[in-house]
Amino acid sequence: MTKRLVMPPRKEDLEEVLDCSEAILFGIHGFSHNFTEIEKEELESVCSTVKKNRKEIFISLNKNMHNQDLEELTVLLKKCAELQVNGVFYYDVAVLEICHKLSLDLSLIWSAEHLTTNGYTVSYWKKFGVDGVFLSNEITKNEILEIHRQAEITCITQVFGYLPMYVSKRHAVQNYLNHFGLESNSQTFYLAKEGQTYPILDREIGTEIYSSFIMDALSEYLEYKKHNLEYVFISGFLIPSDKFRQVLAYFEIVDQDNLKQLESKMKDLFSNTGKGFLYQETVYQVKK
Amino acid sequence: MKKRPELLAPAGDLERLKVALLYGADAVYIGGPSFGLRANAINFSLEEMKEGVTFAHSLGKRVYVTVNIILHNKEAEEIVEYLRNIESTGIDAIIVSDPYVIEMARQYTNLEIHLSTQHSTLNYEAASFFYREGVSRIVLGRECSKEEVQEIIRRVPIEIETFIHGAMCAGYSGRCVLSNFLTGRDSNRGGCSQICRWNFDLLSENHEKIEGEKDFTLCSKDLSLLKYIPEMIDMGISSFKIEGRMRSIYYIATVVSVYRKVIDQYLKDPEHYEYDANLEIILRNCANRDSVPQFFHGSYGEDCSYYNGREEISNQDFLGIVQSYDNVKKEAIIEQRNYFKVGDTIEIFGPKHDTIVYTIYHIEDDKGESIDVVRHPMQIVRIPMEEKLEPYDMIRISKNLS
Repeated sequence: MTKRLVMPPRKEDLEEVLDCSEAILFGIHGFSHNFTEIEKEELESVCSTVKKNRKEIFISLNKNMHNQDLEELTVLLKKCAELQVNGVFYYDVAVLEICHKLSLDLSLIWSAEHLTTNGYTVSYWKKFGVDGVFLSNEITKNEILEIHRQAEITCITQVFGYLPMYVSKRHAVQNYLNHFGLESNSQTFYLAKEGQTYPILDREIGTEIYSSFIMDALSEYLEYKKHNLEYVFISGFLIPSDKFRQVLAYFEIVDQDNLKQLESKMKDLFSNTGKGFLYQETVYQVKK
Repeated sequence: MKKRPELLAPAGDLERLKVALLYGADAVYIGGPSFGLRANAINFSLEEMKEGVTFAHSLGKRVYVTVNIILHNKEAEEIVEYLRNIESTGIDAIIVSDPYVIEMARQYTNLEIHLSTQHSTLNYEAASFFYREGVSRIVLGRECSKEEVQEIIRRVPIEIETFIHGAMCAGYSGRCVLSNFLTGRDSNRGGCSQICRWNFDLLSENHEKIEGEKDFTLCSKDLSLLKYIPEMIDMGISSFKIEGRMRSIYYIATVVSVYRKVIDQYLKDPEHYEYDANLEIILRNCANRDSVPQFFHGSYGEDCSYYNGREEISNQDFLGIVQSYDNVKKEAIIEQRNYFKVGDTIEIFGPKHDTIVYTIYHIEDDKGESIDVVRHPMQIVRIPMEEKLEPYDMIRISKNLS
């Protein structure tokens, strides 16, 4: 069975999305990039809500950790173990190291964003007890399926939502506004270039930039189901709540018979959907 | 006695490798035929790698090869053969990013392994993990502050390498795929098209343009830690890295010789060491962007970035490179790199002598004809010179530094 791992647009949307998901994912404020966040203090109540509904709960602690983060990270990991979260997404090896040191009973998901691109490195991490991998968005559908065939751990791939492109420790937007003496009340900004707009967020722990399009892999979802890929990730980050509920409804009911119709509805809902790199390989040598 | 750090320089090809080592680098890092993060640089063939290693070892110096791309399956399948091939050239270490390469290198080679900055190691727990994995050195993420570097050195018995000079990634290394999305070129496999230097409009959440005086860019200023070298030596950092495998021989010669001088002067007499601000000017003159200490002091505000309108100056200071010296006629044979003429005051610097200031009074072309100006790229000319010069000595236009 392919489970739908859903991230609500806002924590307030949690109850609304539970029906159309098998698992929920949240980031923790100050410890996550590219995810809808909850506060540390809310972890217990969120876990309780999700578990009461017999769904799985995953937490992302995927920031690049600095020395000063480690103490609080340790507390958070212990809390996650105590609350029996179903998995922790991590980017920095410090998470793995701390879990080993403390022998924490936690399922870890290697979630190094753009670095989870081959099955051999997935196997490497498996040897250290890692239970799952959140696959990179910069690989093709065929590569996703190939890694899934190779991997002896849980594979997760994104099928809906904006795709992360950039994380920096710098406060790029705030610095720009300060430099030119500008003010803005916006929470989300956009970078515009050649007719495309890219969401850019300047958060407490740095700057994040996202794709100009919303990944819509409804048809590929059916294929992943056929191959028993363990989880697909449906991200509501930066998506209006009402539209996201529609999206979840489409993923709930999609099959070969209604696929075309739902794809068309998805296009009506969003003008900027795309397939990312699912059918397009990146190049890196432009001259020989 | 203070620990002597390694001065590690970039080398995009054999000529730059020789220049870097002759000008005082203790080691160089180079890219091989594949698997490096500068896929579009010239890079070294296996034969050239062998030649470079022989040259370096003859001077008692070292050569490291970058194998730091993030592998996809098809590359992973070829990695063992590649590692064996580069090991056969006699290189001293590989710089890796993908942990699978660590595993394969340990299993199938005896290569020393350095963890690339691409892995963004910023804390002692991650450093401990890779120490146990057999990595002998970690190139820390450039976001580390001085205190963070110190703490990692204090807690983990592993060699620590940090960047001291050169261009910066605007984002965390490994976490920027702007190039993939905007140009289809994979930044984590060596295809980075430097989108961080592009101009963008910045829009509010209502999609209204925020009108700054200049367009928005993610572009970062360069890094320079010249002033802090004594402090960094005292911290026990094992290796000081200069960025820039695609930089010119002039840039490499200048930057390496300046840092060499500062390291040696401090180690020779730490008590009486005095910072020479003129060296900073020399570095500034050979660069085309401003440089700042970036994250070293823990701050990374407005001053670390460009807000466009930046001037990326094409450097005209570098006039030529000495090819040989005619002992009989007492003339330097020079290959031109930028326009110069009779009457110009020049500085000649090299690894074996102090900087010579000299005003040109006569120039001859390769046919022995007297000429006033040298305007053709790579033109070979002779100038009279009492002092014996060496191959690879560099000539720059003199600027009053006082």
